[in-house]
Amino acid sequence: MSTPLPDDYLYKADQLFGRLGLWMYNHKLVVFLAALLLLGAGLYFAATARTDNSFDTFFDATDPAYSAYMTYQDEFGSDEVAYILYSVPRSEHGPFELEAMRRIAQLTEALEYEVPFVKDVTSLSNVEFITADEDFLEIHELALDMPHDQDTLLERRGAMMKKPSYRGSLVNDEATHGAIILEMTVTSSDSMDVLRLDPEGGDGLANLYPQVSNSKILEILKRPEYQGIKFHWSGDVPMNTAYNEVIENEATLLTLLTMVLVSVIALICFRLQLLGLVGPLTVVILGLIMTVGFMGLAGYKVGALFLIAPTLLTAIGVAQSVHLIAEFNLLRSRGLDRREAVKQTLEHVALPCLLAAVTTATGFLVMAGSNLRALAELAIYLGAGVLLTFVASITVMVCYMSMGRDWRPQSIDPWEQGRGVLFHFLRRVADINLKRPVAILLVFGAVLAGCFAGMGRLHVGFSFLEEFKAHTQFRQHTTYVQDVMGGMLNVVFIYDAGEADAVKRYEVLSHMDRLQRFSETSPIVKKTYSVVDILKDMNQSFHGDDPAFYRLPENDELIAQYLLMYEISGGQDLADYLSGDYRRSTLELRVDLTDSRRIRKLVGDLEEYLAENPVAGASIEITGIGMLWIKMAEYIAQSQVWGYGLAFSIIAVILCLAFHSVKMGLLAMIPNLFPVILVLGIMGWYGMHLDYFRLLLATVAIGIAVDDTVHITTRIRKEFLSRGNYAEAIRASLMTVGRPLVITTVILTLSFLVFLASVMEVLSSFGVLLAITMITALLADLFLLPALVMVLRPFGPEQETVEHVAEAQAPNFIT
Amino acid sequence: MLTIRYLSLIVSLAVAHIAAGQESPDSDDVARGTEIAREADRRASGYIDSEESFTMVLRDSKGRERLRTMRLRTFEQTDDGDWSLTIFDEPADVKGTALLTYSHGVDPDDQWIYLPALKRVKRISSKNRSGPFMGSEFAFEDMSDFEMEKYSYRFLREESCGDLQCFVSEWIPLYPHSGYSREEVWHDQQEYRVQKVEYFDRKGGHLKTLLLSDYRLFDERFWRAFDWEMSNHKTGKTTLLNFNTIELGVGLTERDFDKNALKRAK
Repeated sequence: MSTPLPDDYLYKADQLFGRLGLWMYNHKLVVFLAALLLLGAGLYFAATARTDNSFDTFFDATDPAYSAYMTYQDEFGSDEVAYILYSVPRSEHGPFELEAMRRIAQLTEALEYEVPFVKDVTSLSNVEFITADEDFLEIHELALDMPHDQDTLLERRGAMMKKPSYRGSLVNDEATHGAIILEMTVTSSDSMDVLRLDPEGGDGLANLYPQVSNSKILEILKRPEYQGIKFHWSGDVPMNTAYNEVIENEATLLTLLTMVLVSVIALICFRLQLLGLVGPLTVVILGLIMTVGFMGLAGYKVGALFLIAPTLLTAIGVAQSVHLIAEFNLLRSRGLDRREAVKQTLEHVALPCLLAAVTTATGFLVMAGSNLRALAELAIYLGAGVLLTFVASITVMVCYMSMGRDWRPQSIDPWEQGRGVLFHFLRRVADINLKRPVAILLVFGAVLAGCFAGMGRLHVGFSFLEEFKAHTQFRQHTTYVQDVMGGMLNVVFIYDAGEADAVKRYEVLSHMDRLQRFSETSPIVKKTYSVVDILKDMNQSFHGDDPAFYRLPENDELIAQYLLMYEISGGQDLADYLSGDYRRSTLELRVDLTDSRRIRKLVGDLEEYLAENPVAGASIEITGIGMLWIKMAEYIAQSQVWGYGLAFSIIAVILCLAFHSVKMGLLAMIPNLFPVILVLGIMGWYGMHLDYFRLLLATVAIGIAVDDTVHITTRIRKEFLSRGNYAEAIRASLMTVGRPLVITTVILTLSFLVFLASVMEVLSSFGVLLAITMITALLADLFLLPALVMVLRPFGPEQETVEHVAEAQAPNFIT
Repeated sequence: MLTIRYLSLIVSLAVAHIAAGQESPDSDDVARGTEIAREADRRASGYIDSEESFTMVLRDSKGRERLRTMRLRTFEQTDDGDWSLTIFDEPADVKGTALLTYSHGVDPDDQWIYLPALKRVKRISSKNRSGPFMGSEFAFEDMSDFEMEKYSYRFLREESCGDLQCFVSEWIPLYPHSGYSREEVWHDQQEYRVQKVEYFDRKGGHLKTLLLSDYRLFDERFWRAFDWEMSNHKTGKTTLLNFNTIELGVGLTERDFDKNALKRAK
């Protein structure tokens, strides 16, 4: 085997890395101290990184949709709630059983006075309801005037069940379930100083909203005085708590699992060699700490998307280490001393490792332009993490490789002796490639065509509820609550009449009334709320509770006087629907936690309705969590189009430069595109939607898959330049880098399957799809790439001899 | 509106019987706090009736405002809570809306409301004391008639309050369903006028602060504050009561406070 051309810049880069290896070997202590310094700096800044999965982390503060939502919250207060649904099994009257109602009154009070960050608690026991006869209008609260007997309470039940505003929110239509709504004073996206329970208690989850609120709620519900009442809870507080706990617990769990797994694989692959175990682990730990340190330094939040980072970086770090260890072992087994082996290891694999890191980082970094802030930040810190892990792998591995006695090992590697399953497998792969390249291309082409068809069926969509696995408590409880009451997501229409006091005019409110009725015809709208409900209730009450008067008064003065009367009588809900100056008013739709596409359809229908039925004297803006979901889906779709295109283009340019050949660069892209198209095609055929996790599949896949392509293409090129024969070059390459390729693919695949341990369904499926991508990428590198090289001959015509090359150490087993 | 009288009672005080210097340093804090409140109550009684006009400014956390202009007639009762009649003048669409209230101390008030758009009087009843008063940052219990037995009292300290020197007492509500765990009340030592009240919610958090200013003396005996400002520290909202005119002893009779008076009030 011969070395490449001396004027080749890749050759020069290899030489540079070789000299770097020598310098590092001669200055082990300096390198060791540098690694310690990186570790210290990483730990210092990592301590400042904060966990947060609120919408604040998904959207940029200047995003118009998010800004509109924040303005709405600012004006009408936090819309975060905890929602407790309860039933009283084995009781005749359910929530209207006298004893149960007394206990719920007690519970409501306990929740109001004990749960931190609670603004208001509403239940059947304390909700205001108005009863009226011809001359007398009474505002009741059961807790203030608890009936002494069951019959009186049942009379109250009759009155309450006539009020549409309570049904579907505080009691279901069958009156079998009641609900307690806790409105919160803060939102999860508020600044840290607002979210701390104890200002001096630190920033651990146990001292922060919503954990502190959620914990207190659960502690209260478990008290003996409420035994016999069955509770289900949902809403923003439990959901954000679940997310935060998952992030905190699983970030650690998944990292540890991945590390244990790769350690076991590395030990097996490197035959219990200490370097094979300790080296990659140290690289990964240093890489991870530096990455989290980078996040702390940049002020990035640790959100749900972060969960993929430890496993990804672990897999990438180990893969890089494996290439270094495999080359080092190979050189040592051929009798090179430690110093020379370190130098040549870097000469041979440092550049491919760097190229692989750069292309992987590029795959991530193109997403930095995403409108979805969480995705953009993930792209940056993962990109930085990959490059930092490369630095860690070179630094740490050279440290380890430089240590120890300079003994000359006996070659006991079965690989070196032409034995072992992997050896025979790769030899067979080489045989197939050399004999049937066209047939291989036809098979891959047929699969590609099928996958392209599947990609056409792919759609963007997600549901936060379905992100959790079916067995998780949050999903079970929320599903139950939705089944009984429905509507945990909100879409809000804000009417702006342009001047103070103007929004209460009949022409504006009657439009709101019609829109409200129209929206209620949608099957996913479970409940609607507006000031119109209050006015109808007042009108009915003022007309002897006659249901015929449950309608909006057609008189501006009467509307104003009802609102005044509502306030005089102590009504507290107007601030939820009317701005302080009565210029703006809200119509809130409570919508099923369903696929974002169904919400898009609903909003589309309502926008169409508004276009056909404009309101005079007011403008209408749509916001709410539901709208943020829709925006997220739009951003995902946009990121998909330009992100994929940009990633592929940049990586293709890098490969063209790296291989000194446009033809080879583009050709190397084919085995990288294949696994991406295959997985997207599978998703399309199986009806799986593209959510914000799966959106990353293509860029992560191409970023990682290209690593192996870089290694094998670099080797094929080197071998061809020295041998001048494609068949020999391919066989030699497969028999040298084929082994680390298989090992790294096994490591990556098993690492991504670690995501199966997550309680997040979205993460588990992401892991499985990524594992499939890795296996497909290996198959493409072992079969598709060599077949393409055989057929297209990208390095020019074959030569009998290569005059200006020097002899290099060639593996003695190549036949 | 008799509810206004509660604060009037404790803010309009005459000559102090118990000045800070006369108190024994060893006197019991509870007894001293109770005596301060009792003295304030004593001085506020006897004004017979009053007629006031004022503007209520409801200001949200962003500074956006809604204004209401009202007139208030109050008729003092000796055996029960006071009677009051509130007539709304502005905004124009609620002009003529009137509210008649018979206060009953710790028991729920009797109230009648007249809506001119319907030309009907309706009796309304509510037991909620902790809810907002007319959508403002005042709660019903802040505005309800003062009775000594509604609180327990404890003297806390003396301290300066602006240019004056104040007694600071702690009041703990004894009536059910209060929204407060306690209140801290600042009386100036000279005239026993309330200068400030801090309200603490049931969790002990500082919920609201009431500041009173522009005190003027009537009939050489009764002090009335013309500017009231209630700030809610949790919501950032503020309610201002700016009195335009206050007249005492205007000769109101029971007839001015019956249900027909609601319709006559314009």
